[in-house]
Amino acid sequence: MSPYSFDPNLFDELEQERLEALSWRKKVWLFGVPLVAAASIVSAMFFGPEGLIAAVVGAGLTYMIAEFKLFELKERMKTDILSHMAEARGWRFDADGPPESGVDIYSDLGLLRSHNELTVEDLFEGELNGVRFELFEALAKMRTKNQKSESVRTVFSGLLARFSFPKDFQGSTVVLTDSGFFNWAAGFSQKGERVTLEDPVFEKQFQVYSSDQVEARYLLTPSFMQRLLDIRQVFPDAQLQAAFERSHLYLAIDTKSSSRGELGFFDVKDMSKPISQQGAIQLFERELQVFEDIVNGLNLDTSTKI
Amino acid sequence: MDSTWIFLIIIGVVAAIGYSLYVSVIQKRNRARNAFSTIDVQLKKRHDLIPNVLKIAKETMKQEMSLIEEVTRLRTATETPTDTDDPDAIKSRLEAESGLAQSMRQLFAVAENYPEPRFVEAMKTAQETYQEVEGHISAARRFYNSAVEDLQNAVEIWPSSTIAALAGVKAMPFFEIDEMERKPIDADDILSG
Repeated sequence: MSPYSFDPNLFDELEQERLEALSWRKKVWLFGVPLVAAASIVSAMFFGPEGLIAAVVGAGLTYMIAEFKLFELKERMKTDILSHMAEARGWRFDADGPPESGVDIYSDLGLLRSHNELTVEDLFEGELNGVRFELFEALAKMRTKNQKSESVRTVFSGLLARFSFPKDFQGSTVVLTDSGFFNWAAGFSQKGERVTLEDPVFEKQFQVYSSDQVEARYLLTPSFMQRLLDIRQVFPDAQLQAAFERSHLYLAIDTKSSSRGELGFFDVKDMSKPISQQGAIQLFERELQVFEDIVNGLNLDTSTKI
Repeated sequence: MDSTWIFLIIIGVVAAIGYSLYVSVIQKRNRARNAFSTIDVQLKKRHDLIPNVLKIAKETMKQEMSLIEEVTRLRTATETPTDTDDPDAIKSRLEAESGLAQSMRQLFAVAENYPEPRFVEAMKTAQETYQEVEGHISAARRFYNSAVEDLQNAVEIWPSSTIAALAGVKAMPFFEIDEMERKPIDADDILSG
């Protein structure tokens, strides 16, 4: 149960619109399908097999007319609900995400690999248990063209987050997911030198590079290493990477290899369910709770320093 | 190709391997020495803090004079420069530092039980600063131990062990935490003792 609450009737209007949009969809399919079928038969009788193109176009149009209200509502619903949830926590929500310049630091730190297409959305900013943070969703792709074909590769799809960090440090330390045999390639692109830490479980899952060997160990205490391993358990299919730079901790949780799909956080998954019951509110609460658990688990509160 | 050439090539290859092993062993030794100097810098910070802590403690903790004197003695003992070529000297220094850390922990633990709020507050502030320095010492210790482990492997595993022996490179001691230091301190034990 979330400790945050807001007026349960706040979304009555949205719920009404959802019911209307569902009803609209039902009507369009009820009338549209027989109409398209009849038009296709008539068209086929006059124009032969080519007439079936009308069936395809008709089906496409019916789908668009049936669904456009739900599509539009889905986005509005997400923005309204998440804005209220953020407000209840004293945070700020921006559905458009941060400006592109706000993402550069993640690329500079090597948490976001080289890309030429970037989509960001769902920015949360605020303070949680004394820790300033930003959290947003990002999708980065690399589109390459040659004379014959064009290919698009997803470089990153997941969450990027920044937290204020209670320790003072000067250098840069990056924690990357272990790539086994290909670790040398990761090392090649890193500025600092490899830091070998004493925890064998951590070493098996991560590789650390830093501009300062001692500072890396000052930041990555045995208990902090354990906390990173614990977060890894929350997203077992994801690649977790972290970086320490300019009094901040940066986290990148790449879920592109999981079943979540592109930009799959903070999305209304099922419009057929009522908003307040098993639908969007509960889903978003669960996702924000996971994030809060991560912040609490990292124990970044300024008094502990371990 | 006559046998002289083959012999010269073999000699050349052996010399190249020997030289690269020599470079690697010396690099590891220098890294361990560098790591020791890093610890030294952090330990110096701790030494600099101790007089202020003792100044606060002396005013109120009159019953703990033996503990305060012990801290003063250990601090003086650890002030002497350490010869980084002598593993025994490094070992003694690191043991003395562990003893000093242990005594400081005892001092802070006992101070918590004093009834004077102003004194407890002052000691708490001093302890926070001390713990920050301890965090840096711990990081430096972990780096030093990692460098020492690399050096130890080079000194003990053949063929680099032969090169190390010829170059007079010796393993350096680990900076270990005493079992006592790992345990939480119980002030009642100290006060009753």
